Amino acid sequence: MKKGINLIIKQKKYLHYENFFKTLRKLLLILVVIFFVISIPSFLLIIQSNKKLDALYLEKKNLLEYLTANKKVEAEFVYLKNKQTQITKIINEDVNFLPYCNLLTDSLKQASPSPTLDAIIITKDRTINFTLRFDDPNSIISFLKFAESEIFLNNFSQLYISQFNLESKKGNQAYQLLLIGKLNPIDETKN
Amino acid sequence: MKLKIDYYFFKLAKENLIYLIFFGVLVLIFVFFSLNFVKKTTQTNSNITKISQEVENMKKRSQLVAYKQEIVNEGIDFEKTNKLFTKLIPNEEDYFSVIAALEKISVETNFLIINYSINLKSSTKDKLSLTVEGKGDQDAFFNFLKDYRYIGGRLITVDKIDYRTTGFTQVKLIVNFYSGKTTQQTSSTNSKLTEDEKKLIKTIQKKVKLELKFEEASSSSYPVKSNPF
Repeated sequence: MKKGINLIIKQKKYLHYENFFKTLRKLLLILVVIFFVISIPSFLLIIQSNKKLDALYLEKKNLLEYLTANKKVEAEFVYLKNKQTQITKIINEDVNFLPYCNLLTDSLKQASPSPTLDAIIITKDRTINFTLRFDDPNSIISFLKFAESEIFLNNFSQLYISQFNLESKKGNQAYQLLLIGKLNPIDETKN
Repeated sequence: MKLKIDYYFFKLAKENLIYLIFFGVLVLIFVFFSLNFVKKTTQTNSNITKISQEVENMKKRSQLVAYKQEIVNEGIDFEKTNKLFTKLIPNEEDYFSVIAALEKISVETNFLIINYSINLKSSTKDKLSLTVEGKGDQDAFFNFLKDYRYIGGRLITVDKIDYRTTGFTQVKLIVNFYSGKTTQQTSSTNSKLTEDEKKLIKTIQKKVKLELKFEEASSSSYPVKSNPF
């Protein structure tokens, strides 16, 4: 038996179904449009990215060939840099005693009468130990006055008299002062 | 429970079947395309970033060749400088060069080195510590102190000086000689020498003389007779 559809009773419901399918068709159309709108620029973007990547690969290949051809220059430079770092590190640890010796001898020249430098010992940590010889006691007093001046003391972070000796040879007397201290670092770049 | 079948809905669905299938396929394509696009774009961008960095580093490295020429014009040659550096700090200790260096310092500064002994306690694999005894006037000693670092052809540092003028002038020094390969790795992308580095190289070039070995060229410029008669 064929079953009929009662459109009078269920009109609202059927209209609802028809609207649903109409909306579905419209949605499909919109989706197709959106798909094309999105996919075309996306494809173009992928093509562009691939072109960029290919160009980079080519540049890398060319550079690699160039570097391989000139690998000696690069190896020389790396060796030079490494060796220089090694030398600089060693030099930085070296005290360089000359400025300190010069400083001491120059300072002593400023004392009047200037004493004779008998011995000088300087270690890596800038500890200094020096012996001065004087011919008469007045020279010692004169030197001690000079040693207390800022010109002389500015070179040391600490300084003290460790020993005082009196030498007598063939009627001549000589006086020795042993001073121990610590030198201030000298900025060699200023010189 | 009996399921109520709406025939009209089925009729409409049947009429729109092609659209429904198309809709489903389109959604599937859309999802597949989106996932693939994201994956491909991420991968490509990542590759571009990675290779761009590599290319950038390579460009910096490749500038070295041009820089070599530039630095040669300033009087610094990589090859010669490396030979000088290797002479100053050989890769392996060479005791003959230590002796030669001490002799050369004596000659150049007039500070006479009369004795030397190895300090085993303070010597290491890469550092040879020596106690050096010498004599000379104050000027000679000060000359030594001025030039000892490079003038002997080996890099020397001094740890202690003991200078005495009582009786006769005698000096005791603790000096160090260095050898060994560098452990650090410098990247060649850092492809320029600083002004301080150039200054150091020029100082060393001035003070260390490199003895280049010239191969004796065979003198074949004169005509040779095959028959002496």
